[in-house]
Amino acid sequence: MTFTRRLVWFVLAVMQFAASARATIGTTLQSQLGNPSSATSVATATTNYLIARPQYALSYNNTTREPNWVSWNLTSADVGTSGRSTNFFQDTTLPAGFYQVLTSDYSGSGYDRGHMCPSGDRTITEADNEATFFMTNMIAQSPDNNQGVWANFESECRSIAAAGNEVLIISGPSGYAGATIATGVAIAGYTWKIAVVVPLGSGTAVSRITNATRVIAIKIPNIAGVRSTPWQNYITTAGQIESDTGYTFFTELPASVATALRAKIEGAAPVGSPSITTQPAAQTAAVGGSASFSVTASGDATLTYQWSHDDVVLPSAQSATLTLSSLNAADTGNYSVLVKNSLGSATSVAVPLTITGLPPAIVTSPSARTVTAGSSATFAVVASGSPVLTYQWRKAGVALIGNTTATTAALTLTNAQAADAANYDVVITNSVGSVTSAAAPLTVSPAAPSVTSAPTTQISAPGATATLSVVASGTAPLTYQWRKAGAPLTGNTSATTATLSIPGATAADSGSYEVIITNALGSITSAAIALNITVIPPEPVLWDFTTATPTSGLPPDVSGGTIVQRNNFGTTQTLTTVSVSSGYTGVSGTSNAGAAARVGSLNLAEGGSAFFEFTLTPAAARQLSVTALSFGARSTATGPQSYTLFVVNGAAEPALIASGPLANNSVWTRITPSFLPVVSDPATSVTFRLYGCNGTGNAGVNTANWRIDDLSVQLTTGTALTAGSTKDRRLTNLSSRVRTANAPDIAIAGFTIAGTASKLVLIRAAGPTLGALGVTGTLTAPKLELFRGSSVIETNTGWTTAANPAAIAAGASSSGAFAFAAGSTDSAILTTLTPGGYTAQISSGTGPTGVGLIEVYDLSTATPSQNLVNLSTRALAGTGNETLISGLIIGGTLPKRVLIRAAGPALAAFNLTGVLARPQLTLFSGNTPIFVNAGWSTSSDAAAITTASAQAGAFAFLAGSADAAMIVTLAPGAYTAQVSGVGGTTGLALVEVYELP
Amino acid sequence: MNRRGIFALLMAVALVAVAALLLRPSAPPAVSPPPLSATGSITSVSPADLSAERASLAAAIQLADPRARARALGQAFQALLERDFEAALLALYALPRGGDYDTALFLLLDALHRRDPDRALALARTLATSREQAVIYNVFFDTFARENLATAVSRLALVPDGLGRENSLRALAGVWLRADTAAALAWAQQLPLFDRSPALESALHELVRTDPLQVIELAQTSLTGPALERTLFLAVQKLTLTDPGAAAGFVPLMPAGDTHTRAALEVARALAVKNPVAALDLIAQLPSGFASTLALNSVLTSWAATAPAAAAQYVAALPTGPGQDAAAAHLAGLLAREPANALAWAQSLPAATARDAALVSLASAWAQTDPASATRWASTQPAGATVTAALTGALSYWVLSDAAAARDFVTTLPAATQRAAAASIAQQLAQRDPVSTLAWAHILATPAAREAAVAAAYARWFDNAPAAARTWLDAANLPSEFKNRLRTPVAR
Repeated sequence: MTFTRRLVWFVLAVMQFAASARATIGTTLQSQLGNPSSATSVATATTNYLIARPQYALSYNNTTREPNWVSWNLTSADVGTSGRSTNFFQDTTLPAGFYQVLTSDYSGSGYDRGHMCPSGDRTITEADNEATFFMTNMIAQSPDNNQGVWANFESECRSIAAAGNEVLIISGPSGYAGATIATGVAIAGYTWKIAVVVPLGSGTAVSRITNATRVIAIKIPNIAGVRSTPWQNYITTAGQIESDTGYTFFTELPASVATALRAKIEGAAPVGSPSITTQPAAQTAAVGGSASFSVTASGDATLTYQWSHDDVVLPSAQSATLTLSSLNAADTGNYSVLVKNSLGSATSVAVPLTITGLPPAIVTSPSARTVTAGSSATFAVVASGSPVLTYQWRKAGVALIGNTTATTAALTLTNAQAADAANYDVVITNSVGSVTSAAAPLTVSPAAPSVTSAPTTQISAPGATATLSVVASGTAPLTYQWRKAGAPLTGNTSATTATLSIPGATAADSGSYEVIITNALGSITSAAIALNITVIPPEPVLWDFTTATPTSGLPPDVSGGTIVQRNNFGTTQTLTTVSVSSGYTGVSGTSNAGAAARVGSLNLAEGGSAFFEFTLTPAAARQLSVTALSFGARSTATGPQSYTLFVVNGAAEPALIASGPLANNSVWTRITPSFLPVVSDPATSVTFRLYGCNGTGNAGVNTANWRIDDLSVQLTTGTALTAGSTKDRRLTNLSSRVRTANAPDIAIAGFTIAGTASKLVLIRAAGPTLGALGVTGTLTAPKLELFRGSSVIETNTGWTTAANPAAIAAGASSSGAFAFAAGSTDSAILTTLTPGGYTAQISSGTGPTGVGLIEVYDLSTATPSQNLVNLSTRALAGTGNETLISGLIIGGTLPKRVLIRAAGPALAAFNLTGVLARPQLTLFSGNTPIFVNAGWSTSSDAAAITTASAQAGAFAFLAGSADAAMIVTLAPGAYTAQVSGVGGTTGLALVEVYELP
Repeated sequence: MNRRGIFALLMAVALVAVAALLLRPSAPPAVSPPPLSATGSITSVSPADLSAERASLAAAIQLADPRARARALGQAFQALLERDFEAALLALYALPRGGDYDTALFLLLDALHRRDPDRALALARTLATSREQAVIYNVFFDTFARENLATAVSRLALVPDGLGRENSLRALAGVWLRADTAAALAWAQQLPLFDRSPALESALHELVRTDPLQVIELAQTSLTGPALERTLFLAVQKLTLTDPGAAAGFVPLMPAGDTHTRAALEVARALAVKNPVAALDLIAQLPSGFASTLALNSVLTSWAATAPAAAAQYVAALPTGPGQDAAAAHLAGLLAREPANALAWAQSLPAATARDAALVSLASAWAQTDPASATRWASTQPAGATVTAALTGALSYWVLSDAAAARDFVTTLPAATQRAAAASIAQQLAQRDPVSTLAWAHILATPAAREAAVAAAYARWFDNAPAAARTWLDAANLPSEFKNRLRTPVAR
């Protein structure tokens, strides 16, 4: 029922009986609706004891120590200015034997002393107000209930009373589930209230209650979290509360009235009020035609109708059907109808009337635009009409073609220039007619260049096309000049366009780039950005330590990866135990793998040392390469003090590839061991084992004194090398920096061409150019001689004197070698050689002794069975600048397994004197030493070295000799092998690199 | 055995099987429960240990008294819950849907949500679906929000749309606003449309305690419909308590409607306590009609308490018409604390309609404290509609306080007033004791009064107990024509 309807009732009451808001203090007035539980004022009624006060009546329950219900009457005159009592009162009027709840009984309970008859309803006098503070009027109420939604409804009742009503109220607790506060006061599950709203009038309120009387019943959970919930969310019926409590309300009302009131739901439409059964439907009609809307409604007695158009009442439209004729554009809009009877009203949905056949009409014309050159200009039009409108924008009366926005309601001109300045209009058309808008001028102001979208920092892979772009605006024409490190780029035609393309980008293309944009009005330089050409590593393989399996990054052509753990007690199992990585902010952070390490050093025997292990297996005809690995580790005070990382590559014995310390402080630390790339054979498994070594305590069977987590592996895969794919991996260069003089202290580089076809090779002896690169004491006029067997087949003493200097320069460029200075006395030979063994000798020639560099490059396109399989250099191995340094390059795309040897003592067998007595061979990747050997027989690969040397055709080292050697698998890239003498000794040495299958 | 017999046998077997399933101690639930928690944090003991708890629960359900049943069921279920959560969950499934089920469900989820919030939410999603059940979300999110606001917000994702979600948002917003007003408002305002309204309304209902003006501003820009009306009214109410002048300034700006009218009443009354003139100024800004009439009554309520003479003078000077009539009636009731003065003032009103309205109102107000005097005074006035209204009004209060005295007094009334008076109290008297009332009605001297009283008493009795009333009527020593009239619905 709306407030307005209640007002009508109130005024009717005034007219008939006179209404007054008289205060309702008086014992007989507080339970006009009846006594819901038939409470009596006898002392034996301990659970249903009636207390009747002038301010309220209640039934008290000595078991729950709360009222069962409280009943009172409320008018606006009951609300005065006495204020709120500051004290609660123990109710001493209770009969002997009743527990008198103390005012302190609720202290610390978490529950409020919640008034049933509110303090705010009794403020005419202080005595009236204090009467509400008897503890018999209190229940244990949750603060959110009492101070929030309950208080709001109390306020609502006073507001209803203020609006000319007498409100008969009964409230109480319900839903006791047995809980009490410490002092025994029961905690109800709900608080309920029934408010019967009787418009003011003559006589008692109960005598004026009818079936139509408003009833508000609420049932609010006595819980936390309901503080700001609207009381409307808890509306129920008095009948429901009767069912919950077993009480009978409205016993002073005729049964028929009581029944009606029990079923009332606040806010629900009264029975018999209008209800729309068929809503009006949307209509479409042609201009000049007619349209009808109809509604069907049910309800008591006579229904009246009132139609509205866009919420404006149509005075003459007061029937169930609205018919509109001679339709025009003004009739377009939404129509609804209000259906009323004496009990209420209902409003239909608003439905549209669409008028078709309306010619286009311009609602908002396009307006003039002024833009700067290079920017965008937009004209817009708003038009009405039906059916569908189409648009065609025009420039100076000519339809615009090629601009997709020219046929929409908004025309956008991008990169506006002086030539675009003109009057623009739009022709709007539909099947009924067309209209042309007023023309709107476009003015384009000249503008110096400005950067609309600046180039951004780029990272690109080597070999790919790197692209940098800029978007600029301004008066045309705009010119562009890209610059690198502040210098204009030349030789690249795209360097003068908005987009710079660098095909086949290399590391040398990395740098700082910017672009200068210029027009007749000025220029602007974009902010410098970085272009970085670098290998973009694939996503690492990551593990889930809950399942012990890789969760991401594992290529589809690799399987396995499940982590198993082996403890010191001889058991190996898939990771099953999980514990929380407390305090670790690693990648996974929730689970890890643990193992127990005993006292003692590493022992590879079964059960000797705790380790974690996983195996990766490439698919058929595929190989994998692991280039990096990291893991989180945590070792307790009794855990291992160090770790070792072993690899089992195929059938080979486990090989140590890295080791390092573990801090015994129970703190998680990420460890990234450094090791050579591990490359598998085709379709061959590689197993990684991470051992914990040197524990300081004797761990038990079920303990885990060290843990790992967040395992990450950098992994690439590729097609397995086959006989026909040597281009994928091969040796392409050997270069050695040597100290040389003339015979016999010359440097000799040997190399072998395999297969049956000839190969183009470039052999160089660098001296003077090394000086330009910062090397001191270089040869000034190196002499280069190429031998096959003992026969000199070609000699050079100054590359420019050769027959083919241009080809030599081009060959150097194509192979990536540094360029010799024009006219320098560096020497070079470019020749095609048949398969077989060759030596290139470098001597000081006509100049003094010095440091030189001898290089052999394979310039051929790789073909099957044609390979540069061995490169070697014999030279003096000294110290410092005189260290024998050999460079080697692994070409192609796949790792290559090679044998590298540094022969010293073995050379004596060839009648050479002054040999290096104890060579130390160190292999570097960049500046990082990645492998070292100073005595091949001490290597764990000694047997393999013997076998590989024999397979490669190398002379054998004597058993136990001090010659050095190593077998390594190298990823494509550049490496250096340095040969020095152990203990600073010097002498003649031979460094050799052999390609292994 | 024919086909029907076979069918009956199969049905009997099926029923026995169903009964066996339902009655066995560890019967599986009719509805499969959601998967159990993997945390193992809930206690579980051997089913054999729970027979006592299950028996208590079964006994509780059999109790007829809803209060006793609720208490017994709550205690039994709580005991089972403390012993074995999973068994309690199974027992819950076996309970019939209704209040008992809701109570048990609440106890179960309330216990669970503190230990295993995610499972509690998962269970609530499937079990707490009705309006009564969805209040558990208030508890959930009150707890969650007090523990960790960010976590509570993230758990909203586990709450389905509907009242449960609304309750969750309201509880969360309320707690949050008390902790950090600005953050709570910012959060509420960025929520999707259907979440924003309850969250923001709740936040504003908290904020209204400290800054009703800001609430008014925010509500007008962010809320619509009932939420806007509730919030505006609440804000005006709060503002009225501290700054009725500011509230008065806001009232004319409110959109017309119920909320506007009620706000005007609140503010007018508050203003009138200290400054009736300002209150009357506010009323002057309201459109004339019902709202302004009610507002004036509100002002008079306050004014009469502090300056009754001035209020009386003001009402007497009002233009004659319905507005003055309503004000006169209202004020007369307020002045009834001093009946003699009130009577004198009412009778001095020049407009007859205002005078009658005031006298009728005064009679009822006076009767609340002294019904005998008020009734006797009314009975001495010249007969007419006004007196009838005054007399029956006063009598209705006398019946409340002393039915016998009121009844006896009616027997003494002259014929001109006795009929209406007898008929009015006969209904009230018959509500509790129709037989005595009808006996009393028979002794009334005036036939018209007697007949009216009998008809009124019988009608009330028939309404409350038709069979007994008919039995009485059939045996009553009444003229047949009268009895026939009583039997027709119109007469009743």
